[in-house]
Amino acid sequence: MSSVRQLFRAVLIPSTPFIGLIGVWQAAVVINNISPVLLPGPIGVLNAAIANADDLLTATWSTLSDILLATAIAVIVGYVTAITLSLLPLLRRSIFPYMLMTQVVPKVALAPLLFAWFGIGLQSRLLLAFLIAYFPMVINTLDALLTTDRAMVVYTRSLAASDWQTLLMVRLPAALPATMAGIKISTSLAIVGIVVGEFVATNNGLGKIVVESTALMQTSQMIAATLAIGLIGVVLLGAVDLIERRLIRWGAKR
Amino acid sequence: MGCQAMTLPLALWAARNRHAIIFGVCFLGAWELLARNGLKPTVFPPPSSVLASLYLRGDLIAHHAWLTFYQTIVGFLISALAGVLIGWAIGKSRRLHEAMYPFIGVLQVLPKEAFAPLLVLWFGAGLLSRITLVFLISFFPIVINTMIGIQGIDENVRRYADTLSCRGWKMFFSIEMPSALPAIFTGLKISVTLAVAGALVAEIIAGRDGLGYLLLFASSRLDMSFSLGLLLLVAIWGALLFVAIELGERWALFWR
Amino acid sequence: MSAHADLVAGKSSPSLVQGVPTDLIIKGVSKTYQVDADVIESVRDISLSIGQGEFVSILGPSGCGKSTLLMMIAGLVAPTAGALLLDGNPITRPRRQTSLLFQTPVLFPWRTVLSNVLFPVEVFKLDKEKYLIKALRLLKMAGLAEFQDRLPRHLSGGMVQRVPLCRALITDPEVLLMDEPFSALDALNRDDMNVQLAKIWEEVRKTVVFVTHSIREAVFLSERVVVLSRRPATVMLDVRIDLPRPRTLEIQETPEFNSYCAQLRASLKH
Repeated sequence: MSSVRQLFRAVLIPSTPFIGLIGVWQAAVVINNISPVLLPGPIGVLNAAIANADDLLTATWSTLSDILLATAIAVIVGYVTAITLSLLPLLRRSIFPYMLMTQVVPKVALAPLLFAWFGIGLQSRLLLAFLIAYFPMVINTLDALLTTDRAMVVYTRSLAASDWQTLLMVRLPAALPATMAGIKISTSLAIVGIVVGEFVATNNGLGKIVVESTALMQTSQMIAATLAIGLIGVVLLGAVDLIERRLIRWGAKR
Repeated sequence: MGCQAMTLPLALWAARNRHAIIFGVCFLGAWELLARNGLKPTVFPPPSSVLASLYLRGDLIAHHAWLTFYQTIVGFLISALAGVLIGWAIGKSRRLHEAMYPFIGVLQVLPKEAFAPLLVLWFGAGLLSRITLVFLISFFPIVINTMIGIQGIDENVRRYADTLSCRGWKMFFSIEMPSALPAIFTGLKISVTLAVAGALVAEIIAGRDGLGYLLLFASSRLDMSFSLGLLLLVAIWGALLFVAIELGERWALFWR
Repeated sequence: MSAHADLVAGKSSPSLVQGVPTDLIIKGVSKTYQVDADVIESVRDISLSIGQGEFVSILGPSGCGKSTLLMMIAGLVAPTAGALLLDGNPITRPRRQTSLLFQTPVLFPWRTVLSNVLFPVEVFKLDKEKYLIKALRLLKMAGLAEFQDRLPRHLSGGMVQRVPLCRALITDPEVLLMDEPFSALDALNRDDMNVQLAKIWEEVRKTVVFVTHSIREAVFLSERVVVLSRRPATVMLDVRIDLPRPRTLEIQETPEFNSYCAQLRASLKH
């Protein structure tokens, strides 16, 4: 198969559903004569986006930076927590079961409570996103740290290495795939936290635009903002995936 | 006799998890004491008043809780059915996989909660928009895990099935489904947790009824006991569903 | 013989036995495990003394406790009774003087071959620069020179097992402990590794304790073979292998080789 045909195949076939979706969308709007207040066509959305480019971009940046901040905090604190718990078995046996239990609790439900307690500012949104994104990071990393390949640990012990050396030189590198998986999950959860926070508190970012434009019946604007949120999700997680692939070239077991 | 049979495993479980149990009991005890004597009871109510608030508002809770449970289960079941079927199709057919997988990958990565306001706009603040959101959120992990399960079927198993001229429905039920079940159940477990969260997000944004709405109601009045009580209820609900899937898995995969 | 007996009874100084400087002394060592409600006796009253630069194979049926014995020499497991001495000092924890090799090549997949070989140097906090030359020399001796900057996953099965050997030699240990290092290899690769190991040993002449359940391997590689019984392990036979060096694969066809094998096989049957 020639390389042109290969490129054709690699790009065009996967794009078909996307193009198809947009096509169907436009067609549906035109054929059924749907009111632009209910469902504007893709062109209408594009126009609204261009018209409000400034607002949308500022809001996108605001939401994006909040998400990045929340992710960073959740990942770093989570990583440190995992390391600490791996070194302190008594503490781990006391608290970790509860951390596992929080996984079945939808922490998004804390949103109204947090906003009532701490106000509607950035701190509440960050706290919400942090609470949602923190636990999976700890769980993933800690699980990997505790189940490091036994043979590797025994070998390292046979060199009379200290616990600290074993942690830094063996356990942490071996846990990298699981850590990256944790970062991926944390990122997507932080996005949910910030976005839902913006919907509930409506004082910042793309969430604010979505809620406001709904109230003002500016559906094109609303869809544009919603798609912008979606785009942030796709781009961020794509970036984390790329980082993972570059860091883990040693073909670890999944 | 049944009680006696239960106490030994229970005792063993308690002994193995003694650190966590001791910690939990101390934590609750300290909370109760501090809340009664020290900290502001309006901000940090003691566990006893949290439970009391649930008891007092029993009827109110029942009505809204029922709506939440209903949405979650309906949305989840539909997504499970659709997810397994579509996952199976994509797992089996190379062409379909090539065309659809990147699309599904992108949709999986989209924060579906962001579409909640849009759904409320289109379908109103009633059950339909919320069930749809639950469906959208729980659909993707099931599709992807089913696909992985079907693709992961040992090549030798396929060849063996071929030699027996096993095709179509028989192949589906007696070979493909059982082999893919472990992966499918992993997907179901992930999804059910997401579904519970999705239902609540939908209710919070729709703001009309359900436990999510009650949460908005309680926090707006700074009724902390009730808020925490509702959260406890939601937590129990999430745990129950998860355990249900876990039990279903053990039953279905009895050969493990 | 009596010097040995004196030594085991703790009467004479541990530096010489029958005129050979002794590295390793194992005195009446036993090991019992408690697993849930069961008590498992793994090793019972083993006494051995191994001289400096001796290549000793420990032969025994699967699961007999020979790996446990090796772990005790390495200092990773403490004996329930008896003592182990290295250079007169009791072995109570892992030491730099002993290097351990496992059945599977335990390499770190995120490190290159060279980096893996230098791992002990980093753990011991020694000067990496100084040991770099030695590492390269060892890799060359093992035929791995072109692979020094590759990741372990790029090496074939036979090649991968040579890296731990280089790694074990880099810090110049007194004793090499090898726990069935070639049992996971196919026959061709195993023969190849045996020849390589014999060649390397003939050059460096370290003390080696080599655990195996292959009679031919034991006879081919060693100066001395100790046969252990079924669990709980005790010493059944201690044979000196008087075959010429350098050892080549052809030696395996000679009648002397086969008579040693027969002798060992007979003893294993009990």
